[in-house]
Amino acid sequence: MSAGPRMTMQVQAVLRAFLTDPAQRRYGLELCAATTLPSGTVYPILARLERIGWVESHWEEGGAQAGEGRPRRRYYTITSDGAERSRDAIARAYTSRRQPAPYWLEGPVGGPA
Amino acid sequence: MTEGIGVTGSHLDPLLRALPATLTAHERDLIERAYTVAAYWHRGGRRVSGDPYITHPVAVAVILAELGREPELLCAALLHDVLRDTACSREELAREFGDDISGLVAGLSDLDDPDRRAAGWETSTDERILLLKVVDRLHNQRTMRFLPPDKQRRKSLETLEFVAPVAGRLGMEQVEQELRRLARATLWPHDQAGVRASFRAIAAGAFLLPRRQRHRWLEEWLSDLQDLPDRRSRRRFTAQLLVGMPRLAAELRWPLPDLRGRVARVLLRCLRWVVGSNARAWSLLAPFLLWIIAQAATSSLWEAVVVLMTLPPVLSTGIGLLRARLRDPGEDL
Repeated sequence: MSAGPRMTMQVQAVLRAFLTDPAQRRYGLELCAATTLPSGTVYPILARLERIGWVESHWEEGGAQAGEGRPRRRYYTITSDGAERSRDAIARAYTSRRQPAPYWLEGPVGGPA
Repeated sequence: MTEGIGVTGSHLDPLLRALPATLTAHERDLIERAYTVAAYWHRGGRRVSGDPYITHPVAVAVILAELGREPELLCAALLHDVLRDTACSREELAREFGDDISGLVAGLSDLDDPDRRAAGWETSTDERILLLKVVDRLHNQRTMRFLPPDKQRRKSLETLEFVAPVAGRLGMEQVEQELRRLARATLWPHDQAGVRASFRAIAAGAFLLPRRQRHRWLEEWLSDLQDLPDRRSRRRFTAQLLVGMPRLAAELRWPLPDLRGRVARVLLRCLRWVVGSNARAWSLLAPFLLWIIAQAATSSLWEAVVVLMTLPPVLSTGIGLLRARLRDPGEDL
């Protein structure tokens, strides 16, 4: 099992965006808007999260985009292991800052005490 | 007999017209035999445009004939898709046409297969195979309008990124220009408010990324650029992306955080050792300081004196601050 990423505020912001609805797939630009982070920050984080297996990505299937006349998107989804471990990591980051953890951290692992 | 397999009055006619009069009877026979075999294997096959499939290999061979290329390469052009698209085997092809022609066809098939393609194929592959690749793409790019739009964009992106530069390296300037023009016309039919300029900037910055992964990211960002509503947001997206490109490159090139961390720790330890003593720090800085003073002295002696008076105290303060910052936590214990 690979070690988690350094939990900077930016990494946490990206993970939070995924955790608000772990089943939903998102593309890079959408994540930039959701986190208000610049594209140059979001993509390296996505590459790192994908490398350690917390997030997986795939090209948009089918011809939905062709009808809209746009290129296919690359979609990112948080894996179940990634969701569990990122909840845990974010909860630890909150604990170390002695702040109450937010509601969406209530998951199988690492929810606030 | 299936349509188009016969040699005379067939789809081969455009090639027969393009062949030079200097060909020997044996060379002409070889080309006709390559056509017959290709037409057999592609029998019944159709291009997306509805044309019989064999018209594509013939068109590729015609372009090569017009470039004055040798008969063996024209045969390889006629046969270039039989390994990839039909049940014809490499052995069968080698038995029929020898190692040279079958090697060219097999080489192109390998090039078209991302799993078999060697890293650095653009420079390491036999030039004749690269030429086949370029001309194959040129004809496909010319007739691309029949493909689904998504596939057109993907192929065009690949043309701009890989195939057109290969044409340039082979000295085929006109073909390179045509490939670029066709690919751009597909990607940016009306140049939506600066997508093209932004994408060019991103593609230039993406040279930092590992070659094998570059294409995936470029395709992803092209999609993002077209999703953005206006020129301003595209410029902002591009600038931000370029700023983050070195970080993404480091992430993709050196994916082992342990290694990155170890290198950083070694560098930090060296720096700490250097600033740990004034003698060590100044022995490193003195040559630079002397050089700066010498440079200043060439314009005026007074300026050199000012540098000599001000720079050492500033550097000394800097060393002190750095030393305090880098102090090994273990020293406090």
